[in-house]
Amino acid sequence: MMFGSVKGLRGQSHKGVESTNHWISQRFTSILLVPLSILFVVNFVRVFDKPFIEVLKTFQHPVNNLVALLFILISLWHYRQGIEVVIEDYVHDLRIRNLTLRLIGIMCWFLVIVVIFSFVSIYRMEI
Amino acid sequence: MTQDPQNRPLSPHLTIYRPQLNSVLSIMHRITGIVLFFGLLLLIFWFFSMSVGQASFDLFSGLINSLIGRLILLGSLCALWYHFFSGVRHLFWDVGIGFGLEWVQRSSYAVLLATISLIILTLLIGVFTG
Repeated sequence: MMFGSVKGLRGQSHKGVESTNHWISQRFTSILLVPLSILFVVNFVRVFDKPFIEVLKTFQHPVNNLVALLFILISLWHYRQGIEVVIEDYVHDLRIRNLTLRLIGIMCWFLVIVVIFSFVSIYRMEI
Repeated sequence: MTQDPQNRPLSPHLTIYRPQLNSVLSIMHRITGIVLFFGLLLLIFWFFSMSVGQASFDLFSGLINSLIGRLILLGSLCALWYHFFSGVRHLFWDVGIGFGLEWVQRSSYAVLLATISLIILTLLIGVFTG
């Protein structure tokens, strides 16, 4: 019997082969976030209270820009994977569960667009 | 015996469950994960305000550098390092390392010690380069 056919289980992270893929990709983002978190946090605590020009110059540097962009995008992806598991654990009403998962998906894609737009503008901004 | 399949009792029975260090750290991983989303949102707003220009950056920067803003940042920093080390411990468990009860107990203390050390280290970096 396929696990996916167990009655009452819906959603990506608790269903058959999809759940295996979900589990593996969650580990993938976790491992990527280990170096990215360290690099980003060290950068951030050094500049977060500095004046605009200094912060802008820091994040216009290609390496800092890329590290910050990857850190935020992969965190967002990692958050989505984690919150999906949490929702599938605690929200038992299938209609509410599916609606919540869909809304979170839309919100994450919206934020991805905002983040990419922001980082491209920061990189191209003339001082 | 047969119960409504949509309404089965859930384990653990939280009202009679005695919390221990390991169970508290386990649920803390989830809670910090959920809370960190708000830190991430703040970060996204910060970069967005920077991309708009100096005026909006100065406004938002003033907010996160206020006392309340800094407390939120500090909270996010604590949650981040806890989730980080607790997550690294999960990665070790995923490859089958550290399952014995004795090792779980030891790694719990290691996670707490590493979290506190990194919070202090990060704050020191912030102070001495700020």
